[in-house]
Amino acid sequence: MASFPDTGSPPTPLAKGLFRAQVAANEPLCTGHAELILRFDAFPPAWPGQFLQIQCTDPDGPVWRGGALIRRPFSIGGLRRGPRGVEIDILYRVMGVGTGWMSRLKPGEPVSVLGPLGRPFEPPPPGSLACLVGGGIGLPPLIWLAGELAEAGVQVLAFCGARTAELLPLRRDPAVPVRGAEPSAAWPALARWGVAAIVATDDGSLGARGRLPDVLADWLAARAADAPPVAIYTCGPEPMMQAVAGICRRRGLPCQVCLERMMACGMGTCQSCVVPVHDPAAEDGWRYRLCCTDGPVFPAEHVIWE
Amino acid sequence: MIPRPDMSVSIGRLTLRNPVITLSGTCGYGDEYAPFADLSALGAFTTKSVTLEERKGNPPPRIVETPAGMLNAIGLANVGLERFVTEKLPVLAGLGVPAIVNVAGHCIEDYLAVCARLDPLEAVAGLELNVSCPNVADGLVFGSDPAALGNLVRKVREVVRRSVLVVKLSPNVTDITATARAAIDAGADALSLVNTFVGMAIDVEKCRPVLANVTGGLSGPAIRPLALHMLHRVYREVAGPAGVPLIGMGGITDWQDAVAFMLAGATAVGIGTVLFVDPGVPVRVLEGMEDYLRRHGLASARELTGRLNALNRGPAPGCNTAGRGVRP
Ligand SMILES: Cc1cc2nc3c(=O)[nH]c(=O)nc-3n(C[C@H](O)[C@H](O)[C@H](O)COP(=O)(O)OP(=O)(O)OC[C@H]3O[C@@H](n4cnc5c(N)ncnc54)[C@H](O)[C@@H]3O)c2cc1C
Ligand SMILES: Cc1cc2nc3c(=O)[nH]c(=O)nc-3n(C[C@H](O)[C@H](O)[C@H](O)COP(=O)(O)O)c2cc1C
Ligand code: FES
Repeated sequence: MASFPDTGSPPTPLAKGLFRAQVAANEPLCTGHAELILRFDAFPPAWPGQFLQIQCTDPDGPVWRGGALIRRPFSIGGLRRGPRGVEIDILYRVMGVGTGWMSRLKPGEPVSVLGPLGRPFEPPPPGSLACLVGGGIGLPPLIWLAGELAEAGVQVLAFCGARTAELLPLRRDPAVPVRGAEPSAAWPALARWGVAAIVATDDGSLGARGRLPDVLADWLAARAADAPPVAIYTCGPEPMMQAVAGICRRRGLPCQVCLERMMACGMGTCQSCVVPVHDPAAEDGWRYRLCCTDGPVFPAEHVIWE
Repeated sequence: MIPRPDMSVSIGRLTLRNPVITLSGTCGYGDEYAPFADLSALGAFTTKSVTLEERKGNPPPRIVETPAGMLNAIGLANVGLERFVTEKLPVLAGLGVPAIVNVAGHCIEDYLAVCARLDPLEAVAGLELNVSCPNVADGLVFGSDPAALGNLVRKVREVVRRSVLVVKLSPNVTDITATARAAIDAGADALSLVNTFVGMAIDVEKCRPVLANVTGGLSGPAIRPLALHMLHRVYREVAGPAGVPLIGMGGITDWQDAVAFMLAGATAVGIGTVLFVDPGVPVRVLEGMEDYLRRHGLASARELTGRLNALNRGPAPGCNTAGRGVRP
């Protein structure tokens, strides 16, 4: 899918369906996160920002025999097509029953997957520098986006935040230095695409100390007036995305946010995952849209933050 | 070779090619669900509740998973009658499955307006009255008060001439046979039961309810034994004797569950929450049910209805002769 920026928007309706995957690998990334690699015989075209609904119980057993009931949504954190099928990366944080089940998956075991779901990121305006701003477990869709954009020749810079170094869901190359708020190539998941990252941690244990939106704001303020225009992509905790959206609004920068909601279906049938958005056509100026089918990616200026 | 069992069943004048129905609020208006399953394999499809005016629904969070089930407080978010008729119904009509349109309202006039508009439309096979939505204040009155329910159904009956009229019962009542009887006496062609049970979940760290609506409706395997019991009671005490078909629902996940509801008295079964887990469940339920009929030497799915070999058939000791209070 190297042609992401020049194909424009993906075709609608997007092909999607129910697939059976096999675990290719399932390894810890850091103390808080792990990476699951799923192998599919075939998988429809997919774009960064899209997600999967994973059934967090054995697909060969009864539909429910204990454990998680409804599927759990996960961003596609990477996708590779090869002669032996399609590999998809899921980066996850163990939160409860569903992700706990995932953490016990062994190579070769089957997993039932619904996808690819949702509306992906749009490519940036030609000539822009794409800045990807990801906090904690919001990083996976941006890691894939970084690779797709870089492959298509777009300039990319990543901003990655976590509470503390141990919780940054990226493997680190210890040979490469990380100095304050300077871009570094210490993260192979990004560096292999030639993408550098500025890292911030709340406690200063890695990279800059402080909140990621502040680091982004400082970086933007220090840029030369004639530097190329910036397009922002963000995913992470909602207060972080709201702060990033605020910075973009004040500076007039295009910003796409990738939101999370509690989801039952992921297919647009249950109406559980609503996001309030501005709608001039509506009587009272707003309406709900669905995170699973209208999103999870929204233009930041559409979102009404809670 | 053993002939293929006849899977068709009748809900009033409506003949379904099989007894498996997808449930209101769990499969949208059809178009959203169609990429994931073959709708034409179903007996019928039930739409999200349609109200006279468009409704935004409740603020999020609207759902939370609970042990063996989930709570939802969607709040009847829907596109409203006119957009349903112009945008959704034509798509649904093309999916090759009889459509049951679920109808909800604030007041009797709302129900009448929606039913009168939908009844003549060829794409509408049935109208199901949602008198039992636990997530909006107004629905509960009809669902829990037999007199109010009877009054509503009687008036709706006058405007529903073509399509089959189904009344969906609330489980949030002391005696479900009372509302069942009221709906049947007022002219319902069939009853569906049950809707969700009112429940609640609390986030103890934040000291607040998980759902913005505070309460929500419980669905999924957690409610199955309760739903089965209610269906069985309604069948034995009211609907069976009156010859009114029942659509059984509540936590069905596989063909064994579906057959259990049929044995307890259902003519057809509804599949809801589990569609979120696996949209292919209805087809597997059908296959399993067909195989069950073969193994038990039954020629038709209709033979399953009420076939239960109850251990304590007949009134329990001390019950009055009218049969009320008989425990299944
Ligand atoms: C579009 C989207 C993409 C996501 N991408 C990722 C990802 O790449 N990696 C990752 O680790 N997590 C991701 N999440 C969050 C992930 O879905 C939840 O962490 C997961 O569902 C938790 O399940 P559990 O059973 O382990 O936890 P539970 O015990 O069920 O709940 C723990 C917490 O997880 C959240 N949660 C639970 N169920 C859901 C649900 N159905 N939808 C949304 N949030 C839920 C709630 O905040 C809840 O308090 C994504 C969520 C969405 C909506
Ligand atoms: C998310 C969700 C939305 C629902 N919306 C409606 C609705 O709009 N109208 C209605 O009559 N029932 C609605 N229901 C109730 C179901 O149709 C069904 O009666 C109930 O969920 C029990 O079946 P189940 O356990 O198989 O889901 C909804 C259920 C769920 C889970
Ligand atoms: S999760 Fe069901 S509509 Fe979005």
